[in-house]
Amino acid sequence: MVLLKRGLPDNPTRGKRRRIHDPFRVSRPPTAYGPAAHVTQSPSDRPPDAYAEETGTWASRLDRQPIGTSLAQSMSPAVLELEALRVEFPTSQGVASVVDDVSLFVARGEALGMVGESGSGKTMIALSLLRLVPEPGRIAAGSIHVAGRNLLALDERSLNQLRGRDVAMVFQNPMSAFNPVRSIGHQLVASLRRHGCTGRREARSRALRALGDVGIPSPEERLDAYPHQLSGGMLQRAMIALAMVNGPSLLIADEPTTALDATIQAQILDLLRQRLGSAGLLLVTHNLAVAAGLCHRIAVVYAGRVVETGETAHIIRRPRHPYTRALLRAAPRIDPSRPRLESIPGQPPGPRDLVAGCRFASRCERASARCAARPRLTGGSQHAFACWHPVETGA
Amino acid sequence: MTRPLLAALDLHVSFPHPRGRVRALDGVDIEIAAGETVALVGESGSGKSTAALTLMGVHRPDSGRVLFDGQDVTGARASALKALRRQVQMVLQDPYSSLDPRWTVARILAEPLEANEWGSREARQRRVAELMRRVGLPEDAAGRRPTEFSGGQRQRISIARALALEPRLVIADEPVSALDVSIQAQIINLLLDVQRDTGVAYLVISHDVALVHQVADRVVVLYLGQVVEQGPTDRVIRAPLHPYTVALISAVPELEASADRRRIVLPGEPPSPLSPPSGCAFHPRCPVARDHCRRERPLLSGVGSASVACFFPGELRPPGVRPA
Repeated sequence: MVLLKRGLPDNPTRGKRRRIHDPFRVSRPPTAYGPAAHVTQSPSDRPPDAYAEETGTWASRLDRQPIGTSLAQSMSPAVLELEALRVEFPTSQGVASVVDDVSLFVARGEALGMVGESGSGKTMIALSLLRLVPEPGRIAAGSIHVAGRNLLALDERSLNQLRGRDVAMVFQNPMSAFNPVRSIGHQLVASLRRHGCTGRREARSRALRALGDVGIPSPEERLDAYPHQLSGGMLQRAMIALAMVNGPSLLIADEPTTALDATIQAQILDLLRQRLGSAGLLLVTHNLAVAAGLCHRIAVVYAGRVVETGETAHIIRRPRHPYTRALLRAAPRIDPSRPRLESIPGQPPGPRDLVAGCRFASRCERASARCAARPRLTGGSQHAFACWHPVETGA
Repeated sequence: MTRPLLAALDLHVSFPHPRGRVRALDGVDIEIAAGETVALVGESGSGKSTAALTLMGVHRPDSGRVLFDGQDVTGARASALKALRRQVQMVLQDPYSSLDPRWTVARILAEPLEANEWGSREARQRRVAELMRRVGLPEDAAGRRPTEFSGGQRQRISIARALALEPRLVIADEPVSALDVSIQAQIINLLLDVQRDTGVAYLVISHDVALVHQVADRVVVLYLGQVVEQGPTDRVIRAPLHPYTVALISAVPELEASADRRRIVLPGEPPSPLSPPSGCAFHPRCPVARDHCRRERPLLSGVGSASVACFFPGELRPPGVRPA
């Protein structure tokens, strides 16, 4: 576990306008949940944020690869490697690790769904990836690599270059994520110009194309519109355009459809699926079904820890952690027999009630004395879970 | 059919707006029988919350009538409304803003009893204790304030408050959408248990089709202030006839989408109620609309046990279902 020294620059190109394009500079050993091997590749000679006319997608600086490629066959380098992350907040009863030893992995072109309830720490994990954990919280341990770069060693300036270019975020409420007194176009152009597209006219035409790509009708007019003039669904499309405009390696979407109506939700999920291209997606949601519909892999987070992770089909069909199974059984679904919903007794622990052992034990029907010790995440990249008394397969 | 507990007949409700009037409800009929659960389904702007508030007597309809137990309560005076509200109570979506943060739970639960001069002081105290037990609040909750409780516990307080006067109908506006999944099931089960024990009727307002399928006996689907389809839950959700209902159900994210289940993703967004489209309000987004739909408005007409407002009902099939 690495304790961090903030502000330590590791970027030799710091201060130069042009960035050296070498996203795979760091070749790292495989993690427990990552692919079998990482491939060190030579930098692509493709211009950074190339727009591929033939496919109508924005290529990120990583080579394009069709979404849907399974993890095992892709052997692709990680766009996100999060290892043993711990985020701490001071409370009246000492320090609470609201994120505790969380490791995640996203390959390029891959979508990972991080599923958890409110207070599970999922948003804190997402914010860590932009190093935006709000005060007085702090990243206390762990390492974060985005497109091969060590996020925790970057100084503020390199970090700002990375934000919005290598890592972009789509928030739940687009109305509060846009600046209300600047036009949509202004905000798109600002992001483009900040990250290397210097020509005003070129930036504008790329902004226009970005709006068209996310299915906004008559983008010329919308370019000069202000956020309040767009509906929630349109604004979320614009948000995705803004996030994708610089061809990020990693897109983080925090509850991107929760504030939207059902038919609009379906549109936005479709759009994310189509636009992702070679970027990696970290989808943060409370809704297992939304994650299952969009993501190759799922990580279930409870009280700041990953309790189960693996390929979507494994998690949905053969959950091993009692919490995952309970979540699956608690959600209403369209089932003719209308079984009574199985509720989970109690409620998730608050930041002051985080125990060292299994944090789900107090609500778990399978708990025993053994659960006072912390169960480690065990298993392979297909499926891993942290439980002393896992649900039997086939149960 | 026996006399419904509550009937709304041809409700029209509109609100003033700088650019004309917003037609929130445009000829809506809703019937709720005693002890039954009816769900009102629609997206934001469909008029489902306006419908609830009109039934409660908060909004006065431009035309149309609301009958409670056969008695016309449309535009009733304050005293008559007070009597109505003993019988019709509401549970609101947000348990954070619908409970006074400075009041204790006991006071919150006693307020409706006091306002309606229910029983003696001791009887009211007993009733409060009984309500807390009924909704599964711990005994020591009485002296605590809402801020000390989680969202799920607060929604229990809300439900207890709504049940205080033994209403015959509870209108629940998105009762679980602000809660976590693991808590939602607790609250849904609580609502169902209370209904089994007391025979209360529910009008559940929700955008969540899966939830509605779980709890409702009948479903009313609203689009832009009009009922586009209504009928028994199983019929409407498993064999929807209106293209909007088909798309709405198709939009529900499912855990295991089968290979042949292609989702229907509707283009566009619901139009503004300020300038509703001509003819069928759904035609601009409808995959099977024709010229006729642009000119004329379809009326709700019976198809078996349900009714649907569409010139071509059943034409758009749910994905995965092969045409006969």
